[in-house]
Amino acid sequence: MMEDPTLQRKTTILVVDDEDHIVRVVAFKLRAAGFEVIEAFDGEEAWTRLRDTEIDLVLTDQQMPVLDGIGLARRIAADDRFAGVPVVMLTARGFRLDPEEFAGTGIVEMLDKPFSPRVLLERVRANLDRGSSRREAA
Amino acid sequence: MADPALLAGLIGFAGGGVAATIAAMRWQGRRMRRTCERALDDDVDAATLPAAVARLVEARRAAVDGARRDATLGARIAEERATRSSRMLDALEDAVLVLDSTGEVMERNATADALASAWGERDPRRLDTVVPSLPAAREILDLARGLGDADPAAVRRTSFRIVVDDGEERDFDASIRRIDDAGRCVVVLRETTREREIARVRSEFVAQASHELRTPLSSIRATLEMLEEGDLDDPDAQAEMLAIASEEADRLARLVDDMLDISRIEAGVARPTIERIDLGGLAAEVVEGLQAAADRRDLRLELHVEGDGLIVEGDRAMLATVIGNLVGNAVKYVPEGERISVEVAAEDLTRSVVVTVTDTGLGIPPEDLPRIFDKFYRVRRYERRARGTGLGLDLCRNIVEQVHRGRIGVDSNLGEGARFWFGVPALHASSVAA
Repeated sequence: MMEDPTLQRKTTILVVDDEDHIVRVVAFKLRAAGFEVIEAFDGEEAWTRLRDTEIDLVLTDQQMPVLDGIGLARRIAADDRFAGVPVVMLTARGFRLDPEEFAGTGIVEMLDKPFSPRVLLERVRANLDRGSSRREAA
Repeated sequence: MADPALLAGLIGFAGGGVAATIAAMRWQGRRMRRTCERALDDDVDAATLPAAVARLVEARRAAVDGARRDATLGARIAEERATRSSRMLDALEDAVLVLDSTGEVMERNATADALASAWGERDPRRLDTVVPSLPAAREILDLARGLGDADPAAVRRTSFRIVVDDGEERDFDASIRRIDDAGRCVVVLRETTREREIARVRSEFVAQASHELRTPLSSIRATLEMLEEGDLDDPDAQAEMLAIASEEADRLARLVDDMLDISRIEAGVARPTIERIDLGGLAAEVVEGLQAAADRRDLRLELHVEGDGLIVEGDRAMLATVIGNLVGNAVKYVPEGERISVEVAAEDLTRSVVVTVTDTGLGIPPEDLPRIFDKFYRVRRYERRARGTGLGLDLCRNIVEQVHRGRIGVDSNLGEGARFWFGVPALHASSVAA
């Protein structure tokens, strides 16, 4: 099942989490919905994947070794090559981020862990739509 | 009680006066009194006085001396009491200040002195010398002033924070009470920095624990929802996701167990069953239990027990947990094909039995060594190798140090493996080579 049959390639989501079980569960749900999924286990590894693959949306955990989700989102926002790539963040902190922590990141949405795979998929789709309409408007 | 000699003297004196006229007696009486007074003031040599007068003077002198002595004693008692009170005040860990009705500092104890000198002593009459935050000092003075017509038992409270030059923050609770009708007040400052720090550590632990609990819950919840919604109709997919959920449920259970064990020990409510334990035998049991896991990862797991009688007194299940966690960590984190060696031996110097777990794995980066026993601390380079609770080593430390009064530690060089060890006191000297 293709997300958008007019596209030459499948819509690609980069899933980043240091917990490989979570990566496997999320990737399973997204692949079943027709997305291409690239996996990474910390921010630095995700950054490498971003540079060698065309990514449409980044779904990242917040607390990770080496480079955390906020650091990754900040790098993405600061780099023109990734302009308009939305970042959805999963957090197990149980409380909201401060606005300062958000500043300078491309984070468009935060989702709490434990999460509903169905809601996660809905939010990924919604943010992809918003991202593409933003890109078209630009 | 009358002195018989004095009475006889007085009678003789009175007898001598019979021959004189009443006026002469009166004159003599006045003269006598003056003489007595002068004698009492040491102006007259006692030897020049009639014997009876001399006795009288002597008696008066004794009485005056006694009174003087009593006065000195009273003063000394009062002085001792004042010294004791001031020492008591100085012994208090709280800073105590007395303010007059204008808010000037009249007195302060040693703790208040120490605070004033910590901030850099200024005018000792000003409250802001001890409370170097103008808003806080002003609030305390306002509260003191407000106590003017209040019930004498009334207490006003406030709290404030002092930021020291180096950025250190110190917190205080202040209580203000009136001590007399002249409007004087006593201000007691209690430092709460440590309590705040304990509360901060506790809240950080709760936040971290909630994070750790949410992680396994995520996989379990996600799997259940996908199962419910028919995403897992493919038997292979279903088996894969259910295996994840089941592993995460085990992890959740271990996490909760570790958290409870640690908090019981830390709160001092753990009830260890203390018995004689052969640590060599216990290590053998634990190693045997982990052999299969080691085999699966192609690890050589060896046990060396040095002699018999490595007896300690301790809680069997708890010590098995310590050995199990140390060996289990090695089995989880050491790369396949490496070697793990468990050694149990007596240590003469400390009269203890020491268990050492040495591996030929990756070693631990020096920056991680000091924190490796901390709650939820994980060595970053190992993080993805295995799913631990992040509490295993903290639990080991608690069991060894708090419950068994032993020692635990680690030595490692990056790239050269690690050596975790713990020692608990040996039960009797005979188990330790003389």
